[in-house]
Amino acid sequence: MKTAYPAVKLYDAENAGRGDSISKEVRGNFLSKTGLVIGRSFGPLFAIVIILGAMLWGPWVSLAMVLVALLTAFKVV
Amino acid sequence: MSATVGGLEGSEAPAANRRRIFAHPQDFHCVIFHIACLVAYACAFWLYKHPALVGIHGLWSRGAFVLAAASALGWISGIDVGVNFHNHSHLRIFRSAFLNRWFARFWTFSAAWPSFFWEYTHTIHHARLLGDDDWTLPKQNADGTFEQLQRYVLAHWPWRYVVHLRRELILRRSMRGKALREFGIFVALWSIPFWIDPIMAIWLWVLPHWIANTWVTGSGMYVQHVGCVKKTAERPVSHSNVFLLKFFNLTMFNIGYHLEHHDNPKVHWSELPELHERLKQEMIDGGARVLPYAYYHASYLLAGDAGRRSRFGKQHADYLNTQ
Repeated sequence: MKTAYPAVKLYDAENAGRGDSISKEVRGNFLSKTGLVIGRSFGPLFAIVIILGAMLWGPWVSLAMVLVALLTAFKVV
Repeated sequence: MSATVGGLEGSEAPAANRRRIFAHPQDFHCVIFHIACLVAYACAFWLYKHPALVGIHGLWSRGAFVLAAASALGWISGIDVGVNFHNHSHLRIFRSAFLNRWFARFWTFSAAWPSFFWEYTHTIHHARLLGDDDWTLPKQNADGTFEQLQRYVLAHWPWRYVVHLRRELILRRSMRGKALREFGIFVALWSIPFWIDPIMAIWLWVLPHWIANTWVTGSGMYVQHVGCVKKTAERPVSHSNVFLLKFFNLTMFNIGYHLEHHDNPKVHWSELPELHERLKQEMIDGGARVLPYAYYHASYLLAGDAGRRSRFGKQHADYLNTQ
């Protein structure tokens, strides 16, 4: 039996056709644009703080921060 | 004095440069995210090799550092590939095909995936969504419900993926050459931390990748489609769940707008909130499941007992169909 496989070109997938005219522009001034970049990179920046922060407060505090973040995420995010 | 580059003033110059390199103005954010992830790994490796700097004086303190770093790295790697690279697989972020190909290879290796394999898997997911042959999602029980969340995340990556990808890529003559070439490039990149220190690689490379693919991406895949049905004319908006928490969508490239994404895979991730507003009434009328929280709380609820699981489907107050 032959199986039909989808082409491995996901970026050619069609839209339902309702999002074609949405604006691409980033709204806001320099501060809000910078805030958006930092906000979107919250995860890796938080990880860098956890890892490098261990130089200041030691590994146990970093571990505690991770546990608190996890518990908070499970409850509210 | 205003700085000018190529006739453009101040902040317009870098913006113009970005437009020349990136396909969409906000794709720049995807690159920043990925580079920050690689920096986080580099910091963890460096401190592992210099234990005195972080107060590691024995097995227990080393264990605390490894657990903290591996959890944080696993979490961000799951997002970096499961969400961030996912955006690239739908809409290439660079204008250059060469950059797209090579950046992708240097992207997914940091979550233990060859980029080609990940894209193939995601193509299957979109093309066969919730069908009997959609092997990317949890197995379904006889009544159509998903298998238990914990079972899915622990059984799926890498075990079920290996079986399917071997069958559909490695053993297929038309795919084998490209699949093996991409796998070879992946192995060369993924093995780098092992050359530095094999023990370190197990704790700060393999362990984060396991966390990323099982608990982060796996639970994400689960909650996106749990309780959903295959798209039909009668139920066109019941194939995916929508998660509206703003903080989550800000930090997760708007992946919460999942119904909109599946119906419009070529709409850029940054434009999904606006698309959502346009489709809001259609979703309410069609009975789409729209939830006020996000993936982490959803996973917490679905991983619990029957009482906790029953709290999962509570509809967002603004999306109740009162008719």
